[in-house]
Amino acid sequence: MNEVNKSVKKYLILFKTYLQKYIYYRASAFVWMLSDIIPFIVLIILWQAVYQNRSSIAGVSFNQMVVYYLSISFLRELIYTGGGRNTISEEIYTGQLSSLLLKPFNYLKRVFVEEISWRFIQFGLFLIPYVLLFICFKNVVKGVYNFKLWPVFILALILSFLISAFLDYLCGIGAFWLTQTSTLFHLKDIFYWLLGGLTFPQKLLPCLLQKINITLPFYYVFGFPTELIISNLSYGQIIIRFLVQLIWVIFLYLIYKLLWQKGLRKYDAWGN
Amino acid sequence: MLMADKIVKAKRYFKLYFYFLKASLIREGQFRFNFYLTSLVSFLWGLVYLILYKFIFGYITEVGGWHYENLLVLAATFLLVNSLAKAFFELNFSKIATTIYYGDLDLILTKPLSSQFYISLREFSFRPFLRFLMACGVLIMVISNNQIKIGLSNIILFLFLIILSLILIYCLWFLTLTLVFWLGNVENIYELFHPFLRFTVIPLDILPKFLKSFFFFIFPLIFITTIPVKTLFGLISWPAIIYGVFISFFLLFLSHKLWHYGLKNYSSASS
Repeated sequence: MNEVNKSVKKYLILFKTYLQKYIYYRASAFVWMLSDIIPFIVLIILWQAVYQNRSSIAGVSFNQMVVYYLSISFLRELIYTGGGRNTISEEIYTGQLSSLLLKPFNYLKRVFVEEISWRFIQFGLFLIPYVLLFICFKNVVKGVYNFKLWPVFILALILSFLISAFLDYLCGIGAFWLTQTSTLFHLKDIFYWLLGGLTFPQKLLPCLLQKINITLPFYYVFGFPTELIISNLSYGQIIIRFLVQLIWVIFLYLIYKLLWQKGLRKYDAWGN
Repeated sequence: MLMADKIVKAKRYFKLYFYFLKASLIREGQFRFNFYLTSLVSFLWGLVYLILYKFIFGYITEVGGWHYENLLVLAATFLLVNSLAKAFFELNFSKIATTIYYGDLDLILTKPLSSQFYISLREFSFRPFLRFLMACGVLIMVISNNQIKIGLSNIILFLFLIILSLILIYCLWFLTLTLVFWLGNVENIYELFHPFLRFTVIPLDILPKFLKSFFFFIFPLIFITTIPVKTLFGLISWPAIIYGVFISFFLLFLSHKLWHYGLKNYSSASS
């Protein structure tokens, strides 16, 4: 128990240190926040025009569409991880990894702690415009949210964060083998935009693509937690999707562990 | 300055820009694999926009007077303008914040040419070329498949408005970057303009009146894609075009003045 307390205290101190570091970058966080929220505002404006003479598109009403974008932009700020590019890749390419491996922290846990501290700052800044948006659309969002299954939603959120993190970190450890990893991160983002639900609800995809999509991990990062609170998924659908999400978390973690070990064996550092 | 002097000076800058292009091509050739990969990624992102348009507008035939083929032309125009803007400005603008903050501007200020010209146009990126080709291909394909008749004068006016939209993108983007003189090192300030540019992927004349006026008079994004595409389809508004020309050159003048005002706040890095 003592060991566990010491370990938790260690990572708490690390968290506070990273928080102090990232408060310095609050202007950058503000720019990223704008960069994240504006595309969703553009989409809401677009759909408002599209729904002028229509009450429903592919079974989705305008109110549901607005709530979908408000929810998914909120979740994106909570869940989208950037540690793969900004931390792991960077540390492998610069050789900083050598000194970090010698420190008394588990590398993956340290990256998680750094990620959470950055999300804290970014999310804090995001809350202000988000609350304003919510107030603007308060009449639209009434009656659309469904928080009956909030424990499942919280669990799904945690698993979504883990899938996002492992996908991101897998791209990051590509730095052990590739001279540049930006292409991997771009490809990941392309899949998020096309299949992850960032641009439109899953229901707008063709039927066959919907069936394929629920077997892939991208839908489970943003799309699935959003649908838990705004769609009327049946209990059967929720259980199956939750299990698929859990399987992806375990699978991606195991792949990460395997590739991390292989990568470390290949890793060379100069002069650090 | 006499007219003849101005012509000589302009020729000098054109010649200099030709050498910048040549140096940029050599740079791309040195890291060929990286060039191929980033070109492919740029092409794929362009494809994503078109696919998303297809998914979103696949369920409707018309929005705010814009039919599906008009919207596809708008999407292709957005990609065309976006590719050109990335080619001319992206590599340069991504470095402005660090150049100013770390004092590397000294090396530019000592050169016998306009520092704004150098910092804005020194590097040209060939990476969006595939995306540019795709945009042109989609434009031609949509127009020919739907047998849309477009006059030569409309095409010429469209091309002129594309050049105007590039000037507007340059000015608005550059104005956001000059904030570095006062804000210090905001690493991602080069990203500040991008989300606003995304508004131009939708036809801005379908917006509510106050937003439409904002994007026309104050933050003239409507001239980047909406007005050029409407002009291509024969919906020419000469007052709007004249205002577009005026606001582009006004913003160019403003960017020039703000750059030089910012330089007064610049403290070198003791080089």
